[in-house]
Amino acid sequence: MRTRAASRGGNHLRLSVRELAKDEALGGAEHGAHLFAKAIPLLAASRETGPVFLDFDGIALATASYLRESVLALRDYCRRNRPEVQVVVANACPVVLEELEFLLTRLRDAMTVCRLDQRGRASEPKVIGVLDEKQAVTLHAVLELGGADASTLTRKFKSEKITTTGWNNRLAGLADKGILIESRRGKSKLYKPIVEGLVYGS
Amino acid sequence: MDFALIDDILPDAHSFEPSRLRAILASTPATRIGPLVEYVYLRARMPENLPDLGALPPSGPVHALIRTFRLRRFANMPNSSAIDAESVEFFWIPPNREAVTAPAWTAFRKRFQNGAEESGFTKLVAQGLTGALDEMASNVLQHSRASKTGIAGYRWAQGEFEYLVADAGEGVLNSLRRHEDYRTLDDAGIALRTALADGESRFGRNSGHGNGFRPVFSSLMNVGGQLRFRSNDQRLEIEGVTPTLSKGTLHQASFYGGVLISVLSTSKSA
Repeated sequence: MRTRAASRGGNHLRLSVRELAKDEALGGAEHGAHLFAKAIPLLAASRETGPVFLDFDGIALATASYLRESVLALRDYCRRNRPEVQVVVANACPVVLEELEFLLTRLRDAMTVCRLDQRGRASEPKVIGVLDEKQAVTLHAVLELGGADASTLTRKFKSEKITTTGWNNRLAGLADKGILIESRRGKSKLYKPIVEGLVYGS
Repeated sequence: MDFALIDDILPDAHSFEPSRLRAILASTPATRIGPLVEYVYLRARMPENLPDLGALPPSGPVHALIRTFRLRRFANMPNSSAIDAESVEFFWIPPNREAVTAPAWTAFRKRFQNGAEESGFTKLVAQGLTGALDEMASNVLQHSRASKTGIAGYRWAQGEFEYLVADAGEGVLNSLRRHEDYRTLDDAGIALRTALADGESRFGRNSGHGNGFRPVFSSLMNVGGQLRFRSNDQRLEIEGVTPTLSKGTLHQASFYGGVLISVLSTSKSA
């Protein structure tokens, strides 16, 4: 299914929030839930893996309630039903980014945002919100290596005295947030940043 | 009809001769929608003491409110797709999640936003005010337990834009107390102030809910505002440019069963 609301850029799915919501100012939990309901069939019909970009181009504002019921709900939906895709917020204006960061900070949560051009090339990817200290250490380790599995992290960061299971749990937690994406490598799972060049913190 | 009259006269309405009360009300026709709706919803609790809506001196807001009350509920509202702002307009709030996307409500939101722009605000401010409307309407739906009583309205004139959202539901104190985080709360004033703060909601503290009033304040950044929040026997008022909750003052007031949010915003050029 390819509409103006959903398009393929590069090899990823892009969902235009402007087209789905038919508005530029997005407020209210119910409107957010409506966007969620519209996006689900598009996600279900797609075969792409990796990031699904929720493109906020043309959106002037979105309230925290709206973002909770749309963006975070979609991320949770993917985690449960389409773990091979991760929701990334793209082209959000400062007002929307500020509201999203506010919400994520309140929830002690984090997710990935970036810019996305017409050809589907992502740039300026970063993690916004809050990661706990353990997840932050894990993310920095993965970013440093460009991708890693739990065994590699256990070996490389011996001094941290974290078991492979411990690293695995942390990596899975970051995947749940849509920050890392996992792929099979033999018996282990390899985790990579959802968008190349991802940064977190200053 | 203004807030001063409501605050000064209504608590003692029972002690006035009906003719005297009518004379007082006749001397101040309703030009603002906030005091008018507050009066009408307060009156519902003491109809024997106060003249009804039809007996108030005629004005644009009175006529518009009478029209809306005659339609009685959301489903009866005209299914107009017109987006040009009226000078004053009321609309029953969608009583359920599905109705929020009804074309009639979508068109009302557009007229609301266009009214704000017509009054002199930038498109961004007008969009912010519309976001605040969405949040307040959503609050009625989620928290009032009487969503069919929910009403929204706007009025604009050059340099000022007024809006309100009101319901006759269970009020802030009872709503918050539904969650164990607030079960010991017994003061309507503290409840009102709590509900207005970020992250406080009957769904529990920091549940990701309870941020609905944030757009009410953020939409007034660098904008002059007069805000009035009513619930139970309390009113919380804030006035000034870039109003914030910390600047709010609480006062005892006549019992208002439900929640009312009244906002008058003024552009700098006014």
